[in-house]
Amino acid sequence: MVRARRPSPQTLKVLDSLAANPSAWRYGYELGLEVGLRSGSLYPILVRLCDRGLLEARWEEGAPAGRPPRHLYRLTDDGLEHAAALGARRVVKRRARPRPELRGAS
Amino acid sequence: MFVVAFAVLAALAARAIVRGLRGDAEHDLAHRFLAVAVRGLPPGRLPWGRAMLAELDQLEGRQTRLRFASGCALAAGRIRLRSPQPGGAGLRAVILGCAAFSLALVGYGFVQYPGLRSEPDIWWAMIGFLVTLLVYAGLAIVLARGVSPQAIAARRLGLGGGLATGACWMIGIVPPAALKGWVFLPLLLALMGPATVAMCAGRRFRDSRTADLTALWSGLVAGLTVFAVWVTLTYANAGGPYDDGLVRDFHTSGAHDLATYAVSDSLGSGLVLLAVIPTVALALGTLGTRLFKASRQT
Repeated sequence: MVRARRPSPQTLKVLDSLAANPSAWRYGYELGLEVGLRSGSLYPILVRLCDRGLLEARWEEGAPAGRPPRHLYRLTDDGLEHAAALGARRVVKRRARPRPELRGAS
Repeated sequence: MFVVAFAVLAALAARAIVRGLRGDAEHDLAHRFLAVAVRGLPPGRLPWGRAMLAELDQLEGRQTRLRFASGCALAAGRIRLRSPQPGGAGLRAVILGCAAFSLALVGYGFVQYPGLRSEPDIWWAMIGFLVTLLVYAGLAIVLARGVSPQAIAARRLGLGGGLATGACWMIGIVPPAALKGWVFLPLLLALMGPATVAMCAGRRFRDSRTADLTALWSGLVAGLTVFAVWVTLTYANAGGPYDDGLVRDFHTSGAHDLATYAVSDSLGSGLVLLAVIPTVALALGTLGTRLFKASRQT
């Protein structure tokens, strides 16, 4: 079951990045570079998302000889819904914020 | 002499560990470091450790690889903390209980001997004491887990070995009248205890990690036991017996009263023992394990 706890800004970045291309399988280092997270922060986030059923992982097939297969990740359907809901909530929040009054505006 | 012997042993142990790391010629330092860091992940999390290693093997450049490996090692520690394994409650209770009791003993000393609070450098000593206890508690919370036969054996042997080692330290430090001339014997046994239980565990499971953990547990249990008994005896005798050297030092120290001065002196010794006993146990235990491994390979 998905907990209602508010995700951290880093988790939101990872969700956004994965949701931008939902059908693609991504790997850890590339994802970390894209969202600007070091491996020390990225992997605990991936583990948590997997535990919550928001992320699916599989091993790369047909890896070139001489290097081990990579672990690949993409959002599940629940993960996509979750990312979309969080994105929508952020847009609503941003719109709801009152605009500052302009000095001298009539 | 003791400090020099300890430094030599610690250096030998460090050399043995570094040689062990260098032994794997197929992989570089970053890979070997990460392989060690992910080795202790809970069984359900091991695929994540393999994922990090596989990702590391795609990277090029020494600095990039080292940076990625150190980040992953940190991640492995965080994953481990968030995925507690079952088992080890008994040993955790013993270590955390003894740590709490030690803290209470020191607190009692401050109440019973108020002069301690105005001793020079007492607060630095307190910070050292609290940091040491935190290290003890942290190691017990993070590492005393697992239900594998190796983990259970390491805890049991470590607990038994630690109690025996602690008893030997106490007999060596405060020898009964009949053993006055034979103090070196219990002290020798105290030094050999953790290495012996570590080698027993390593031999039984043919696994150096089990041996290292056994040495660590025996050191922590011995350290806390000795500290608790030593400080309890100190309070029971009001810091006595007061030898000539102590009385002489008291007169030049400007301390409030002899009992407070003697208790402060004993607490300082207790703190040194609390830090030194597990370090010596781990150094000798690790060295014993590596020597045993080396003798098996030749």
